[in-house]
Amino acid sequence: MSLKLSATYSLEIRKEIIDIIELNLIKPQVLSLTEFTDDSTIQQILNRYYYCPICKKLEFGWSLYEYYEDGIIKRRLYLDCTHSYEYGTIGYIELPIHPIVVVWMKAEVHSQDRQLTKLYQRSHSFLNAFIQAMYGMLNGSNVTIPDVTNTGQSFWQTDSGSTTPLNIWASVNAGAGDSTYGIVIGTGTTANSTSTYALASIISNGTGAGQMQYGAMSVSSLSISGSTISIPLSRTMTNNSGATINVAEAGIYVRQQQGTTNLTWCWLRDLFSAVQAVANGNSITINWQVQITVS
Amino acid sequence: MDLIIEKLSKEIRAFPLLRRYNFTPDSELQDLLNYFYFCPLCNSIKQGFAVEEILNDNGTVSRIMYLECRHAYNWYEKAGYIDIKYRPSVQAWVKLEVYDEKNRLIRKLYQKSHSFLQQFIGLLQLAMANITNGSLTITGGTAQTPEFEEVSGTTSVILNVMTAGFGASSGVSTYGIVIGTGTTANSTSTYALASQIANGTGAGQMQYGAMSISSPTASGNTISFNLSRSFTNSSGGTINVNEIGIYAKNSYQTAGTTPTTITNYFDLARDVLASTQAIANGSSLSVTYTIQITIS
Repeated sequence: MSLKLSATYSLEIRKEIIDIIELNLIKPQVLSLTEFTDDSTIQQILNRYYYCPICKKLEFGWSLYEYYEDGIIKRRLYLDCTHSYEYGTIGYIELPIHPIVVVWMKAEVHSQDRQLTKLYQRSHSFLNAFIQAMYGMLNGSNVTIPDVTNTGQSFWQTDSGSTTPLNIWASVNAGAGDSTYGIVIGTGTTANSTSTYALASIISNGTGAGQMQYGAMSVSSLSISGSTISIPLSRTMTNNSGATINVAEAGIYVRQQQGTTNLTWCWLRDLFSAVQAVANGNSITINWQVQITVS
Repeated sequence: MDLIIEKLSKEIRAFPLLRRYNFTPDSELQDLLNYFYFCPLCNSIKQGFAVEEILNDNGTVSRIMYLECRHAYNWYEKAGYIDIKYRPSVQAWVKLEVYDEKNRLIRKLYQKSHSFLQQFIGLLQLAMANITNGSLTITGGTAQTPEFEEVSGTTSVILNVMTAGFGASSGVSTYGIVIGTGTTANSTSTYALASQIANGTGAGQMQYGAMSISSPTASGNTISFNLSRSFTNSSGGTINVNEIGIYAKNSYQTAGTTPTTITNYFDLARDVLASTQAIANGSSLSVTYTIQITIS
């Protein structure tokens, strides 16, 4: 859209706005050198606009990566432009936002005796299969959507007139050892597009080379805090493959069971702002929080 | 910090000039509402919330901008916006268009939808957890169990997971897009419109048209679809519309030799309008919800 300045635009207005911006500036808070930051504080940190010296513009916070180095916790802040800076080295401004839906993703790597890293980021992408499923639901019609093998399959919203029962509508509640649905992880780094239908390179369940052992999915009850309602989802994967595995992507696969046929679609996929190296014997826990704010 | 001030001072823009004799296309309004503005009344920076466009007698279109703080400004009044956008991965938009008795578009309100309700996210939670005995609050205020799955072995074959469109034909006001006169703010326990306008031609009633839902379409990295419905006022008086929502129907048959059809209605979304839309007798109102994801 081409924007034109109105006749009433004046230096007086501009000064007034600059003044109020100046009043809104907040100094970066100091975070612990020994404790990982709690989720709600990180959400506040990521809900700010930062000045990106590389882009030379204001960019929204995207991700905070915390890791141990030399016995203390260090932090790297990633912006929506994907540029990253040591936490606290760039200035920010608070601008209130009102998203109708926010999804947060957290990846934590643990050794057998302690937590090693925490990556907390704003999820960027529900995929085509999700909005197609929502459309089908609201329209009350079965819709054909590419599944995780990129084969168009009918996602059922109704089985009226069918002799095949709809046994499961859209579950992620997979058991231990099942990497075909629920939260899944992968090593791929391909960017999402409107035609993305699966992880780029899923890590399968097992103890062989490049495999990890999938724990059972956890889907908690709705969590209500103030005017926010969220669904917490989580799953832990353990690396007993004998070598380090670099986890670079995660997604949510939903299963629909039509009679005895299981079909799977990828509703959400995110690339990690920082690849998580999971050494042999270590585990990675992925948490997703799908959140609405009611107002 | 100095860099931020310097940068923002370059980002400030005055309101853009819009079409003098035409209503603004939706995509441009979405663009405008994703910017931040300086509100002189709050003395702080707020995001855009809604734009109302009114056709004047001389054929020009006047505009009012509503900010998230709910303060409103005439388009060219003292104000400026900051050229920084916030584009969430999921957005929903609401459009209300008022037509006079000659079917001429006379008013358009375009605003961000603020609220999916607990029933929406509760539906996702029950489905994702594969819980078959959970409950959600229906539009009547009681808790009921929605059915997403058929009982194995039943002779029943009727199941509609949740629909706001299929079967919501003219005259049906129990589901689909619904409208009301209430102004109560939403809370996490909101389960229905505060005061729904019933279908009909009696006092305070409007005639509900059939629901229309378009297939998802992609534009750049955005995919969206629209739900829309028209309402006609033949009540004999003006009706003030203040709230809109999306009611969905879940229907299924019970198992057994004498299956019974159970139907429940759930409110998935509700929005209180930025400004009351007065619908005169003989006029009509078209309401459109746009559900949108941006993939990156």
